[in-house]
Amino acid sequence: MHFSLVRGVGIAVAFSLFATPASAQLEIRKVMQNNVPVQGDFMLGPTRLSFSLAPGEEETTMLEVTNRQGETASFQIVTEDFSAGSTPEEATKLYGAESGPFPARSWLVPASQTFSLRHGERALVPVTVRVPVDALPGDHYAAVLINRLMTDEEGADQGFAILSRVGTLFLISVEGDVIQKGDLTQLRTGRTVYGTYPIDLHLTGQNEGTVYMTPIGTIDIKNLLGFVVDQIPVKDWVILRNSTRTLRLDWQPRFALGYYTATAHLKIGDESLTVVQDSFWVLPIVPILLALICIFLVSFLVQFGFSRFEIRRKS
Amino acid sequence: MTLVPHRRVRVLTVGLAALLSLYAMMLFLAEPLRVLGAADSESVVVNLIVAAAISNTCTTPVSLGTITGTGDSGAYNASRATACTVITNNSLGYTLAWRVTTGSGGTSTGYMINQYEDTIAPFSPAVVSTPETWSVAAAASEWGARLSSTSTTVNTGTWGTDASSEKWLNVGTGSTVTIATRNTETSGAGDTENVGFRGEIGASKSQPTGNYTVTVIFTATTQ
Repeated sequence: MHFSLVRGVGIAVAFSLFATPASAQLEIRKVMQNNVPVQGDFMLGPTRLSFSLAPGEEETTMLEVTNRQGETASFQIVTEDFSAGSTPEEATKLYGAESGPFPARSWLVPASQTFSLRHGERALVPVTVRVPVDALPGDHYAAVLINRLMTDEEGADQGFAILSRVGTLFLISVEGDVIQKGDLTQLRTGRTVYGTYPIDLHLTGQNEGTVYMTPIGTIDIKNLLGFVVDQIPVKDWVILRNSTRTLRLDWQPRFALGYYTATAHLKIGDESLTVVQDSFWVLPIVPILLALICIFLVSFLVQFGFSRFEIRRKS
Repeated sequence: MTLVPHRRVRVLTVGLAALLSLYAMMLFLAEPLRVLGAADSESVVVNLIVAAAISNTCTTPVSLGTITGTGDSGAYNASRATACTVITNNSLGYTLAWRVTTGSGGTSTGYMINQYEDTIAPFSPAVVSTPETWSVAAAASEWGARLSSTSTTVNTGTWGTDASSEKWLNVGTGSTVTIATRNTETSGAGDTENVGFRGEIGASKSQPTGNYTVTVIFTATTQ
């Protein structure tokens, strides 16, 4: 009876050891980096990760945290839902303890909630994304947020304690019946007439689907005669599901003068999006005045010279 | 240094001709050849993937000093502000958002709270989430914050200018509110976003004594 109980406990312990999901056994690995400057902060990367997983599937990824604090520091990991902000300019909104519109924070399982690093040390933090079997198809958004734990001196006993943190955004697309629907809605410049550079271009896209879209392509700048004078690449632009995003790009030419048209030629995969464009004038006053003064001065000096002297062939 | 009339006309005509010629050369040759554009058309094949990384560090703590009885801690001042330094190599930049840490105000989260559970309410702008000129009713006590015009990426249309046209906002609970954005990577030294804090006890308000505190969290994420 006693033997069978011990054996039963032993089997249970052994089973629990081997039955633990592989991701739960992952540990934070630490690597010392060379020549890390003391900057009084810590660095987190990558800052955005995308996953395409089926319900019930899981995948583990690695985040890297480098301590540049100049001393040993402890860090805390939390997860929160996020979504696109309420305005096209607001990229992300984090929801804290509340649930976001497309929640996934409970799907993210970091290897640990806290860890400490010596200065110059880099932590490789495994984070497992576990999609529930009943997850709805489409995108779900959550972030892994890391902050340094405050020391007693940094906490406020009067006034404001400031907690600074950084996050990695997880875009998790659950496979199934998803809707891909979105387009460009507007390209506009900040002003109609520019006296100086750069020229600010505001490109707006709307995503009405259930998965994020990443339009890529170029904004072509054409001059008065229709010649393409420059191309501004559009890349890494993510428009989350059910959102409108405005991307600001700056055109910084070496020199521009006159009337220009900016036209966005973007694609998602092989599908071209609606072409949007806007026109603007560039009239850099100082270079124009300098050119006018120089040209008319030279012209005047030439005429002045010819009125006083003449060049004659030898007889 | 005077010219006869027909020479003056020639100065003008030659000058204009030179100007038009230069502009035509620019339109037909220089611009189509991308001599003046910002982008270099030559491509280089590299096999190194540089992933985006981000850091954010804010000075802490921030004290508003002492208000005796009633009064205002005052307009923006660097001594009553936190400086957040954000560094990222992400080509689309970052967003910096604020929020009161859940629970720092006890049952009245978002409030400043003292050791006896007395509270100071958050600033209440007329239009939610829209910064406005600081104004607290005589019977109220409130605290708020603003992004200083000395910040790297401040929108002065939203936040006004330090001292002359300051606009303030409450720091809310729940979801974060973006206060600063950048659309390109930062320099190695990063961007500095200065956030000032302010508190006022209204003239007819009897605010219990104590050390009032709150924890504000600043989160930087890439775009």
